[in-house]
Amino acid sequence: MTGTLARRAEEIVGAPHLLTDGAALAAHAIDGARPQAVARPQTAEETAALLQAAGEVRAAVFPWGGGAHQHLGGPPARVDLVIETTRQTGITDYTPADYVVAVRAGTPFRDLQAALGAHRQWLPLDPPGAGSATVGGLVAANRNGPRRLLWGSIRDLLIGIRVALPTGEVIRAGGKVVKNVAGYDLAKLFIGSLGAAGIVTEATFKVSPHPGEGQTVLVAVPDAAAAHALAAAVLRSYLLPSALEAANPPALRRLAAAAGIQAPAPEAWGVLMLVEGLEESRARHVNEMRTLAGGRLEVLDGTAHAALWEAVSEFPSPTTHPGGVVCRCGGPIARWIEFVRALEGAAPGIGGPVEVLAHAGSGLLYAAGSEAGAPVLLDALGRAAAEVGGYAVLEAAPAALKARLPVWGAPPGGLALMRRLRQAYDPRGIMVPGRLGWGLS
Amino acid sequence: MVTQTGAVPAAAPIPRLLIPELDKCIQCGFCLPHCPTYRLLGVETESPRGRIHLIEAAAQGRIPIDRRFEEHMYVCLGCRACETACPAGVRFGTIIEAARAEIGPTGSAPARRMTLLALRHLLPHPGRLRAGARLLRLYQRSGAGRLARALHLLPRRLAAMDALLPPIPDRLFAPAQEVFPAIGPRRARVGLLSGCVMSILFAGVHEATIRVLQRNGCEVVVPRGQTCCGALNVHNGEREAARAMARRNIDAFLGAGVDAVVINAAGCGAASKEYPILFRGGAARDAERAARYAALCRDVTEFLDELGLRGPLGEVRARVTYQDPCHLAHGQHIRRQPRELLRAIPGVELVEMEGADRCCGSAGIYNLVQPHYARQLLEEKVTAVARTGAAVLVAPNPGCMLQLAAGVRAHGLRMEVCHLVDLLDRAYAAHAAP
Amino acid sequence: MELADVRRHIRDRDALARALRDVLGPGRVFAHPADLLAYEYDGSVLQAVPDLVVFPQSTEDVVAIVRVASRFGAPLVPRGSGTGLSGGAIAPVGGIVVSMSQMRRILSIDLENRCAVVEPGVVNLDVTRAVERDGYFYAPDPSSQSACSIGGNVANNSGGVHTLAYGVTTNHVLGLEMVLPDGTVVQLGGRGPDDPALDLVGLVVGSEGTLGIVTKVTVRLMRRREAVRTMLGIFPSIEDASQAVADIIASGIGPTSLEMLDQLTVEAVEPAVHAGLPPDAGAVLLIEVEGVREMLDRSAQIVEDLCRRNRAREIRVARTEEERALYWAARKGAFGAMGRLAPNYYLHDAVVPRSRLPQIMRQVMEIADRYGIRVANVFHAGDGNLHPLIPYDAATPGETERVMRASEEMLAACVAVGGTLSGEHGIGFEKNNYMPWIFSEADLEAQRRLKTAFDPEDRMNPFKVFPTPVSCGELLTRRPPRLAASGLWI
Repeated sequence: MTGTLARRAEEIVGAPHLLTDGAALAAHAIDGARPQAVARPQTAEETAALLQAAGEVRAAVFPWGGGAHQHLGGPPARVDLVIETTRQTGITDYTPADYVVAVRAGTPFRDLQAALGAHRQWLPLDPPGAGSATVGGLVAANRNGPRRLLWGSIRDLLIGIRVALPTGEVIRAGGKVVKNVAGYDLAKLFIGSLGAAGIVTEATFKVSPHPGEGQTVLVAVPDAAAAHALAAAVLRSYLLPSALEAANPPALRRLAAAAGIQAPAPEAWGVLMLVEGLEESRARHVNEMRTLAGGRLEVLDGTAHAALWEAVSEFPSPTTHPGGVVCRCGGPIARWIEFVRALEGAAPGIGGPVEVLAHAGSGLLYAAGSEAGAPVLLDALGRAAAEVGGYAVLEAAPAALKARLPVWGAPPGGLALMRRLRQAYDPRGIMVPGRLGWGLS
Repeated sequence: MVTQTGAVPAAAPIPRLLIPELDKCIQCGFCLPHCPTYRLLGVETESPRGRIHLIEAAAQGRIPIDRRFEEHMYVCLGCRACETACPAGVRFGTIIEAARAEIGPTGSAPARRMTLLALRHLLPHPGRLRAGARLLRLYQRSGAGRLARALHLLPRRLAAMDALLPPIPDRLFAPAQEVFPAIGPRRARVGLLSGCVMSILFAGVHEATIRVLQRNGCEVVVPRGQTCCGALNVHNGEREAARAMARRNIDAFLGAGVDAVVINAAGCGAASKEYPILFRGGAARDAERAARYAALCRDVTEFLDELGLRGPLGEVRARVTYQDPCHLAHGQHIRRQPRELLRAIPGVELVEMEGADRCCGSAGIYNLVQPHYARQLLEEKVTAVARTGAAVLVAPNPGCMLQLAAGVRAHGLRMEVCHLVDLLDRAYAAHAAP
Repeated sequence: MELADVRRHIRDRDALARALRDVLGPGRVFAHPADLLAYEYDGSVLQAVPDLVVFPQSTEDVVAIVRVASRFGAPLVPRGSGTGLSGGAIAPVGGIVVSMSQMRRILSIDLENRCAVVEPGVVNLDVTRAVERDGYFYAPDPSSQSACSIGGNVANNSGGVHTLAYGVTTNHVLGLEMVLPDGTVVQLGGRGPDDPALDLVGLVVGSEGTLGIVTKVTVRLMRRREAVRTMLGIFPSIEDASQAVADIIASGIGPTSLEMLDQLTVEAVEPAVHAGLPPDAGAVLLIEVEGVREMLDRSAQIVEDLCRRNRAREIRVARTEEERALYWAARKGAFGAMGRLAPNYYLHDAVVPRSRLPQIMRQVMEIADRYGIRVANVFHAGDGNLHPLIPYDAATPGETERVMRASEEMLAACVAVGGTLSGEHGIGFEKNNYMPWIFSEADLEAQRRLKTAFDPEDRMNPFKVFPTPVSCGELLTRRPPRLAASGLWI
């Protein structure tokens, strides 16, 4: 980064908001790489101006919200300017009766939920990193949690977006109504692209009435096959749980500890069902689950219940597995079991224990293990992904390890198109170099 | 104005073809999946919406009435399934008949001549029809038929007709008396339309109809002066001959002083009920009499349902499936009545086939004009029929019975194809002599 | 500027037709004038004659068509069942209409993984029919679902009457196979949720055939709900019914449908459907709740209480499947019945924030009064998606223009309260010149970049979605628009 850019950035955001001191730079290191400056624009326009300035000198730009998801992606090729969104906070439009909220990107997710909660509403997301994440960060990182089974993911809830493009424009896509087919659904370009197409400055979501207290139904089963069979039985039934998880023994022990309950048998798998809504409906879910599970189950309410699901949400966070690695696998709904089998097959090579948590109704699985076993673990999951037509990515790992491993797994279809899109939206290639897979950035 | 490509040839507009029915079509496309030919071919030109659009274009002079236009108009089965599907209430049958009236019968020059000959000189004359039937019977029985088939002497279309025709029965329908008395207290005096094909090939159905009506307290009149209903003429663009035939029937039945005209062929029923359209724009007297006549017309199932079936019915133990004749279900909106009559017969187990109201491909003379498509539709139909495992296939219309019987035969199915009144007649007989 | 000035002239149409016949065979290329006329329309009020119509039966056919078209510089207009309401399937500047109606196989059904792979010509309802015996369904259910195609749904991101609970097409498409304008075949998505790649599936859904030709669609299948309760609330006014809608949503019971009919609509529909709707009702609300059986009694009670609290004078609950069908017939048959009010009608599809419904209804009525026209309203109250529908007689001189002006004003009013131009019918060639009402030049430029990345030569469905120098007025049908943009779909 040149001095020109620093001067220009300072003009744009004002000296107090251009951080260049060592502590600030260290705090914004990405996979160990320190930026040369951190700019904290107050508006979308300032953000766009920063991008324009960065573009002129081809500086490498990384957006930063709460820093909750900076572990995602490949190691940066270089980091020049971090653009932090945390000064762009607050709800810009919220009429509770519309069940739509527009919020600036730097708003902490927690604050948004609190504001909605005052009207007994919520944005039905339960992502990892919820405690520190910003709304914009969640969108850019596409972080979702177990409740996606019933409530959907960011992709389903985001109806409008405001973005500062790498070419210096501020644009809107979508709108603030829940049904909208006017123009391309451009918001999809920014969900999960880690800032590669632009920096989200405002997001508009559909929100819902809060369903109130829920309950957990926990069933211990002997093995993965039994967990898979029980989850399949739930999915075949008429039950409508908010979440349905399968946890292998170490993962189950972790969750039980978080909930402050006794773990079921030490080597048991757990099937966890989250039920919300009317009391009559919850009772039916518990009863039918009892039948499906052959009588043995545990029902959790209150703090144990809440703590358990927070632990489920936080399972993929790097802080949950310090020093270890976390992989995410996706595929057809019922085929998460193939990833488990692959891990079992590779167990000798992996060495240490692997924790597995599957969103059993959604086709997602997280596996967490030690750094030492990571190459074998990732390889095994990658093979299983190829087998089932899914994918496996390395989400969290020590930076040095990331540099050596195929973080993103096999390339997706349409890669050439994705390159053209990157070229179209970021012609100078300034956004998040090295971060996206397959040479996309 | 839009630039036209494809050099749209100018043609003379045809104002009489701009009939009010055209105006109702909103081009929503709801008819497409219900149209057998669209289902088969997947092209707009073989769909009701497309045909209506082309007819309108021809009426406006945007396209000429040429071979291509004719083809599109005659690939249509005239099954009118689109009418059932249409939310705007477009009467497609009326539209396609108007278009065909501009074209005349379809086919090569010899085929056209043959069709015209039949439409103008055979169908309107019951006597000639019967004579022709006797000749055909002779041909079938003398061995000439077998010879002709073996030597491939018949042209393609005739061969198709030959394969379809059942043996001409010994008995043609030529009742000795004109009036059949009611059994028990008289509830109604009804006329029976004997028609063309029915009288020749299905004399048994007519006799069964008369017996069933008698048992239901009806005095049945079969007026001598009646003739074929003219449906085939209307469907094949021969409206003038059709009007003459309609007048004869109207005179015969209005003169007979009946409470209802009972019709046991769905196609004849639909055509009879639409005589007022045939006479639209003509003399007031014709229109008035056509309206009076149409108001009397009832399909036999509709009539029996309205009258209320009189017992006692004996048992007919059979698994039965029911084919909705297009001109009953779509043309006359009669679906419930035949099914309820079937359920009223002790021992009958009614099993619905998939797509019961989908055309079997018979469609008047369609199976002769478009044998290729007709065969594909029949294949689909027979497959659906076979899946029901029924022993009896009921289809209260002569064209359907012929087509389905041919299909059942070709597939080697052990299945009886009959008219609904056949089963009712059998049930009454079963009670009389259990 | 007129359309004739922008028509893309194909250098040698006969040679193009020959080249296409070489790859497809003679029966699958239409060039006869009569045949082309049958592809000059779709479900909208617009018409334009294409240069050719082709009928691919496989992905390979589509690739061949795209390659040949590319050699001749001919535009391509993909078409499903042609039930769309914004002119999306017609060729305003000419070119080749690519009818997907012969690619209509359901290729695979995987109940365990809740998905099916279908060709784009498959009719929406046929997907549900293929799996309903096993207790599954395909959720998006536009009112045209018995005729419209999955490919068309993908192009328009179609909604339906259960959008409120189940979302729209984009929420139910897992993967796509697509032929790009250069003839490349790409497999997009389909690798599971939160695919780490860019969400190309999400970008293609709703792109109205302007990015490429979709040749396979992987759709999500859903498990049928155990039970359903369908209710009718009869209200004195739209305000009361709207408040009931707000209260029902706020109760958190999660209704799957909230549909409203106003008085004029009831007046038209009742004689056709005989659902027993009182002609003097200010508004009728159709409410549907689905879920496990145990929950329905309670939910129904909540709905009833909330309706009564908002002055509903009567609440009816469908006791039988026939009754339920009758209630829905009243809702879905509303537009067919409009023919009873006048020979023509014009329909709009706009969305406003839900709380603005009563206000916008007043404005719509005020505009109608000012123009001396009547307006009937049937709408997805739960989504804020309204369909003002103006019955009129095009034979009256100047009436059509008056109706069009009033419609435009209504649409503008919706946009002014934060609404949008279309909730489900699409922009196509009908509303593309309104796009600047809701998007800045920079917004549109950002969308154009997407278009250019897929289709640098602008050969896919040109003149759609984006503003053009020519208005759709030129393509209004030659005959007066009768039941213009009939809303049997909505």
